[in-house]
Amino acid sequence: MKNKKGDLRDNIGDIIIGILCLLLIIGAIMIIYKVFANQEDENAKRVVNNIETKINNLNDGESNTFLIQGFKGAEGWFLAGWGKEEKEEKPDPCTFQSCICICKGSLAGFSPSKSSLAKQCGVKGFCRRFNIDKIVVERDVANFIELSQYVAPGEVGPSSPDIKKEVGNKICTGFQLKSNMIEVKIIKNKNEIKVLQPVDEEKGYSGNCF
Amino acid sequence: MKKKKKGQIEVYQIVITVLAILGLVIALFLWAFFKDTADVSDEMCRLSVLTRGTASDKLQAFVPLKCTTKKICITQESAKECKQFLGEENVKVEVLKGNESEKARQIEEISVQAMYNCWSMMGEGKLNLFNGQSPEVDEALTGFIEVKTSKPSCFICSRVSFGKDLTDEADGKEILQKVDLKRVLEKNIPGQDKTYLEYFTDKQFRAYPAEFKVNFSKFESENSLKVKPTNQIAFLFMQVIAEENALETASTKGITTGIVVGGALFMSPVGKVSNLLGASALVKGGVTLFGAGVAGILAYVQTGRNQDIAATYCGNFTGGEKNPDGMPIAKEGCSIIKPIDYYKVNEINNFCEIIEGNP
Repeated sequence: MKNKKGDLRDNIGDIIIGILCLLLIIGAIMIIYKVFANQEDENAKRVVNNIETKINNLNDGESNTFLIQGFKGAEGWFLAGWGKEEKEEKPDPCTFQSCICICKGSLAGFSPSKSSLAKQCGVKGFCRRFNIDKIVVERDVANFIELSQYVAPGEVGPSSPDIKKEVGNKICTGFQLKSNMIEVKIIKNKNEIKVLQPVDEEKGYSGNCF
Repeated sequence: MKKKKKGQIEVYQIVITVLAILGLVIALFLWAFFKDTADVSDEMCRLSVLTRGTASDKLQAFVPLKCTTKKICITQESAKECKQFLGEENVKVEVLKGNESEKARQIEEISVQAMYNCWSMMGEGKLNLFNGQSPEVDEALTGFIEVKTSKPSCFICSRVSFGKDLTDEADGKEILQKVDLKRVLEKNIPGQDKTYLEYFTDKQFRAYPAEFKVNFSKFESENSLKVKPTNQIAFLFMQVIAEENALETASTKGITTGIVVGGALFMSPVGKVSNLLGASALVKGGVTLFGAGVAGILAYVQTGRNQDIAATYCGNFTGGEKNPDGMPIAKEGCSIIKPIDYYKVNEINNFCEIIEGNP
């Protein structure tokens, strides 16, 4: 027993060297990871941080238009916001405070409700909290096309192709990021922050809008 | 005997431990000292560019472009800040000093340097950086021939902003009026025996042809008062890669703007690129060259006609892709670096379908 303790004491130098080598290897792996790792998540965080900074730098009653630089894979992310008084399902970080979240997913692919957005943000999303009552994140769709289908009585599926109805301009919740530049207007009032994507070149949008 | 052996091991262990600790301390010191400096981010960018440029198409998608857009704020003593960068990090503030002419020279130097750094960092446009990132292909040159290309991809190398005291005050406007990039482009690069222009044109041209100067002054007077000046310029690096032989096909059809680089004739494969160059192309001996209709910073600040200054490389691209015989597969395409009004979102988005790198 005594011998074993002695062995450990004899090998303390080796243990230290081992730990140091391990630290150096971990450091090297971190550097390599930094160089080669996919930066999509990091870039998404940068976008939401950028928006947070812009909002924080605006005074109450001010508004301004900013540019958000996209990134590769940005089309797979959307921006949405929740006010602290909203009753619908919200992402966890927004339970007690208003927040803006950047989340992985496509707005076109959800059932048209904010709850479905919240669920998606729960899977993968980065939120920033604000001490304000209401937050609105919206997009102005230039030429919204409403799709409807005729379902004949007694039939399960649609019995006609999509019926298209042009609605014109429509304000929809949230906006999808782009892999190039996005123009965003931020309006800050005492009780409300509004992040609006002005009319895009998007023509004939027929996805979800709520 | 046993005691002596034990002693020897202890000395050995102590030496190794001390060396390891020393190494760790040095590594930590270097890490702490350099982690936030521009040099390291430049080196990181250069490393990622090289890695990507030499990787095969399939691997390219896994190598991110670790380059961060530089933010340069040019201002006078009175402002010392650029509102355009409100809340943004790592902004380099350049406070102009001296009389009006000296301040104008400083703006020229900063801008040309930004362009030089960008071109140099991006492998002088000769590395295939974005092909593997954009597997989808576009049909370009519609109406003539179909040339499959990768999506035009960009990196915003730097954003140069001007303080309010330059854009809104009379003396500041005077300074901007005096700015002429051509002056610096014709100067030698520090420590080298070639001019910036030679560098950007692959030693094709040392100075601008005389007739160009006439064009320039005309261009200035025609436009400078008509368009509201911008207060932020982005230096964009754009690259588009075409399928093999696409450029040759295009050249036989004779429908694009010819560009000479490195003594060989290559054709710009994509309509977008051609349009950019073609708008004010200065054709000499049947070829278009860098800086076709080059205007100074004055032009791009005051008129937004920034398409008139650009560094281009069109031709074969170096990459890591090899054919079954182990020979490198040559890709063709164009690289361009050009200043653009940062607020012209549609223009930027039209030019760049994908923007990579860190904002």
